[in-house]
Amino acid sequence: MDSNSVSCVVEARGLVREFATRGGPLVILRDLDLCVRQGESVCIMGPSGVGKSTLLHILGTLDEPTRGEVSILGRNPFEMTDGDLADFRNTDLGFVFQSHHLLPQCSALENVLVPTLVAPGTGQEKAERARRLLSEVGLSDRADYLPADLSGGERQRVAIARSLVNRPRILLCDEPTGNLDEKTASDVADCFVALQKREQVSLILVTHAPWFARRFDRVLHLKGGTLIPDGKSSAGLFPPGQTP
Amino acid sequence: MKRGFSTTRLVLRSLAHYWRIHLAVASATAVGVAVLAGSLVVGDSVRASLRRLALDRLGRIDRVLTGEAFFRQELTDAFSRACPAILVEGSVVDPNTGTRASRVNVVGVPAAFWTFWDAQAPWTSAGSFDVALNRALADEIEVDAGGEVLVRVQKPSAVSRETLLGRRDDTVATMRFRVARILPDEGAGRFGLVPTQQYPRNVYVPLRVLQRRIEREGRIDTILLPPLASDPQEILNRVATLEDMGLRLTERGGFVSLESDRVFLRRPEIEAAREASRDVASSSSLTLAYVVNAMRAGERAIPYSVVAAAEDAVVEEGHLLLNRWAADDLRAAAGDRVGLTYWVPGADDRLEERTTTLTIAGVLEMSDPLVNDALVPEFPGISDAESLSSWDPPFPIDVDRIRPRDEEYWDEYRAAPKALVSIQTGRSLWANRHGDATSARWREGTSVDDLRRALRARLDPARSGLAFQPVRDAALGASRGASDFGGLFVGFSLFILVSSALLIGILFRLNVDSRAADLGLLGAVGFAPRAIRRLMWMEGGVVAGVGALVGTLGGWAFAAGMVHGLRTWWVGSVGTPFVVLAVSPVSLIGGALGGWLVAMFSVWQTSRRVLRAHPRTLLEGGSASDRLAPGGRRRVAFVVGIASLVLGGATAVASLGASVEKQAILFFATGALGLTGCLAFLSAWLARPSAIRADRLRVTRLGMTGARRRPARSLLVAGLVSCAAFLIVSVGANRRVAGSNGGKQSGTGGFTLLAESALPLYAAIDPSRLEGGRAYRMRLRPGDDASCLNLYRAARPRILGVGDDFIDRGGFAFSGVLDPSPEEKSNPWLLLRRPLPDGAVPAVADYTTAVWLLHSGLGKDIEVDGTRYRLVALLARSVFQSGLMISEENFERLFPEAEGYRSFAIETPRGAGPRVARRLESEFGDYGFDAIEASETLNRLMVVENTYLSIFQSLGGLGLLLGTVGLALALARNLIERQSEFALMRALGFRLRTLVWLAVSENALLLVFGIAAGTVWAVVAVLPPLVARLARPPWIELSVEIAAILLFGLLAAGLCALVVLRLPALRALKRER
Repeated sequence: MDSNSVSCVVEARGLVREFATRGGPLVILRDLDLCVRQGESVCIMGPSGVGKSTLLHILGTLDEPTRGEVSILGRNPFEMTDGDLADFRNTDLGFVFQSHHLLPQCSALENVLVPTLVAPGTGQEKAERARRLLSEVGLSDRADYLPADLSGGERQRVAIARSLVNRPRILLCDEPTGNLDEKTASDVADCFVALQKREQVSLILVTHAPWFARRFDRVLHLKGGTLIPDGKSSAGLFPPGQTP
Repeated sequence: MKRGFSTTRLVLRSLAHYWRIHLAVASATAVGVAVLAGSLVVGDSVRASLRRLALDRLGRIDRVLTGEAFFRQELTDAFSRACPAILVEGSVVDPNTGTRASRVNVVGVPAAFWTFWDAQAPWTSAGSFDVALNRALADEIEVDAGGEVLVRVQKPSAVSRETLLGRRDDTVATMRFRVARILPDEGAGRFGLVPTQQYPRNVYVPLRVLQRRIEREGRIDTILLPPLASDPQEILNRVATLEDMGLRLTERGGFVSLESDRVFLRRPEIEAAREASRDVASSSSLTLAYVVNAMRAGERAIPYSVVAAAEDAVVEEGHLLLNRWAADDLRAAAGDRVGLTYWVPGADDRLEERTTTLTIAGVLEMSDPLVNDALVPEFPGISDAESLSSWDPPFPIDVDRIRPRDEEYWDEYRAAPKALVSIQTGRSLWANRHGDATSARWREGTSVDDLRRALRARLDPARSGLAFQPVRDAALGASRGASDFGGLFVGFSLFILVSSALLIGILFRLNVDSRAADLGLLGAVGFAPRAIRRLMWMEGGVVAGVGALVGTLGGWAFAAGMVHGLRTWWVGSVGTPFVVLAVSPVSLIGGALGGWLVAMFSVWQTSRRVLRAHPRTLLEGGSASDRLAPGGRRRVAFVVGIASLVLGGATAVASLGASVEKQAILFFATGALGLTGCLAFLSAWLARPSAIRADRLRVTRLGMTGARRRPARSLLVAGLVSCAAFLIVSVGANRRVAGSNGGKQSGTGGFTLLAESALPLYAAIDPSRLEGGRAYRMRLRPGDDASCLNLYRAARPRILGVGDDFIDRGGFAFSGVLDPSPEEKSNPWLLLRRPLPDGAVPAVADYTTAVWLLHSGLGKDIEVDGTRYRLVALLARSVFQSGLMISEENFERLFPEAEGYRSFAIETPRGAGPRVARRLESEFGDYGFDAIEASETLNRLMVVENTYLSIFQSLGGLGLLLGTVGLALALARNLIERQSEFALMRALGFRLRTLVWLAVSENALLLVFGIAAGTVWAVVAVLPPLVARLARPPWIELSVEIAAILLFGLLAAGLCALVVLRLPALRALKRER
């Protein structure tokens, strides 16, 4: 990585991801490059099945690239030990999934607190932070509710609060509003943007909803396995001042 | 949330939320724990029952003093609360029907005997002719109280009947009694000194009456003692006299003589005499006196004379000294040759007449001190005769040969020897296994009291046959059992334990699979794999703990069920329904802990495999095994499969000529390799990508390829089923039945009959009674039954002494032979003649007896009563399982007091067995002769083995049931996961029965594969040893069992599929993932 990448909190160079199939390798990501700065919000768009989630999972260290380089906060996560990687995910990354993946046996507050079980800090501090996040997503009065008793939007907001509880520097979101109706999705989107600004996190979000994309600093399209800047956006593939 | 959120709280939440699957895991754990704890409790129960039985049959008897010969009853008075007794073997007959019971314990006791059990004597007076029988004996001869019985016992003889002076006629005493009472088979009714769980057959006779009938008034052979404060051996050493040891000091004819009731002095007695001589400062001389039929010089002869071999006779070997009377009668002088003609006991109890010619070295005057009646001990029937012609010896005499001159000699000189030879000459002519001296003499003037004291101080009563046996301690030691029943049942239940562990693995895996997304989420938010595993272990630990607790109660029930089985349908394995439940907390806790550990191992294994998957895969609800295995791994599985099958075949072939011990190892190796090979092939097939040609798409084929969706799960299920099938088929194929007429190399050795008598027989069995067959006599030293029919540990196994005819005959199959020469290889019995350099006695035993019951083996030593017996050969599944077999020569040297023959192996022409048996039992009925077909003996031994196999099979079947449950649960889980898929098919018009068949065919593949693999390799593994034994497995029964397993599995799968697929389709289609 060159000196320009110092300001990229998330950087990908020549990323390739292939899947083995009966008919031969299926290339999803093809020599993909990306750079995201601290505090920046980037939206990645594309039709279903193009590889948006695959890219996000790689950036979130939930999947490994076939080839290419990935740097997150100046480190290559795929060269870390299991323990370091777990700590990394726990304290530096936050992930919001399309399907919220709340633990059905835990209340809303407990679900927010799950990542704090393996993080440092006192129980008091963690509980206060969790309550505050729940309040910020408008669910302070639902703290003790089980996921089965929450609406789809409420569940997703719990998931958002969970992703921020350990104060990550990077937040990755995979179609967070994909399963929601328009009104709820809009509320969730607002929640996202507000929280991102307040928590000063770098946000990479995947969506196919154009109305969501307008709220981001940069919009990129995933096409043919690579990222193409949005024609309507003034932002390019790389942040201003960054060279490929 | 009132309390802080912690990992513990997360675990508790998960436990509560997923309670259904946890309940299933807990149940599987409970089964495993119940089986393990229950098996250990069964072992405890058997041990406790054996102990209870041992104490019951002894009452308060702690020790027993026994003698080889009868001793004074007054000796009893030296011990507090002791009871005199006569304990002998005999036979009992119903005089009205002729029904007979042989080898019955005849217990001659006074009223004091019953106080050991706080019971009352069944007879009113000591002199009454009332007896009591125990229930076992009464049932055998079908006699009730009030009936009559004849009791026959051997008349004891201090003089061995195998010597010239032992009486062989009139050896049986018959007594008629009235049965006063039938005692239950417990307490005093179960009295016996030999540890066995079999019911003894006892007849209790008033002591005084028995003493009178066997001509032993005031004499007993046993003292029963309760626990004593002081050491009884010290008391005995103080009060026992020479007379109690069968010795006497007599003062006559100018000598003080030490003589024995047995006629011959034993080596310890001779040594004691030598040593006592030093104390009394008077040397002793040994004498060996003998009766000769004739002394002949030229044409002249003297009938029926005594010749003495004396240490103090000054005469060379090969020479003799005549007394004046004999020299004059024979008109012989020094230098002349004299022939001595005499009887010696020969083979088949016949007397052989031998003649030895010696040279006259000189003539002793009649006043010579050695020409003395005192040199001759009391010879029964001779010494007390008034005249020579009134002799009543136990050998034939012709009174017509007796001349008046001979009667005159008798009148004047009695038994004074007419000739003397050196002690060496006498020993070479007349010494036998019972001794080589008839007296030790000291000259007149030697203080008899001093001599008595000196002799007594040097003679250990125990070495003279008067010894204490700590029967109570021995019984308690023996009740630990020859086999560890707890371990045995754990072995029997091993498959259930393995099934339980595999089922826990399946269920836990199902649990984890259903929560894959949750586990992926934890990984995504930063839980390290180690931390996730810890959560799984915590959950698993609590669930397994609950299961273990419940299983502990189940263990109680399992043990109760097993004990009930041992008392009823499995009673063949223990002989009598004596086992009662005895629960030990240690066993329950041990079983709970063991079962919990087994469950945790399954949890650990499962969690290890699952977390190999990438978090993304888990988030999507998949598992590591869902991915296509790379081609390389499939090739490896294929190669492993081929190699395992080839090796499995090789081990099967190798077991054809292997020893019994190696066959067991090769059997398991063949099974393990075969099943591994089959499962490796299945693994390779499951990992192959599904590809069905469009034109070959059928419902059944589609269903079968469904097994590939969860290859690890499918492999686990198929493995479980194949193990179960292997176990059930291989165990069933091993059930044994003896052939009706085995050959010479079979377990019967080619013998038709085996017989034993309660009383020893001295004469050979007349061959004409055997219809052209032949009887081989064996000597018997009674002891503990070391066969599988006796659960007690055999500390003193029975010992048979086999003659040269038996050894030369050969026969039987051997599982191992110790360093044989070429000759011994073709007839391993010859090893019994091989002297061993370190003095051990070569012995042959059955493999089962040696290895499993005496815990020894080929080439190892067994010590019995201070003698080392080395196992030089092991018989393979023979009729001689009850003890050790040694050569007759060694037997006679070790057990000179064991006379006659009591065990017989008989060959008869085909079909003549039952007839010959009846004939012999009739002829030798007075001796309690019992003959049984050899094949029946083998069958009785096999009943035990077959019962163990039945238990094994039953428990194996239970294990298979668990396997089927696992199969059904796996199927249910698969269906639930694919509910939306099946719902879609129903929406597309598939009928319910088609979908059920689709689901069942997936599991039918695994079921059929598992059963086929298990069955085929069970047959391959079992066939070589069956071929070697010329045994035929029960094919029909096995086929029925296999078909039942298959049917049951298919029904279970079908039922499960029917239940799941009946759930509303719409709900499944609408359900949010």
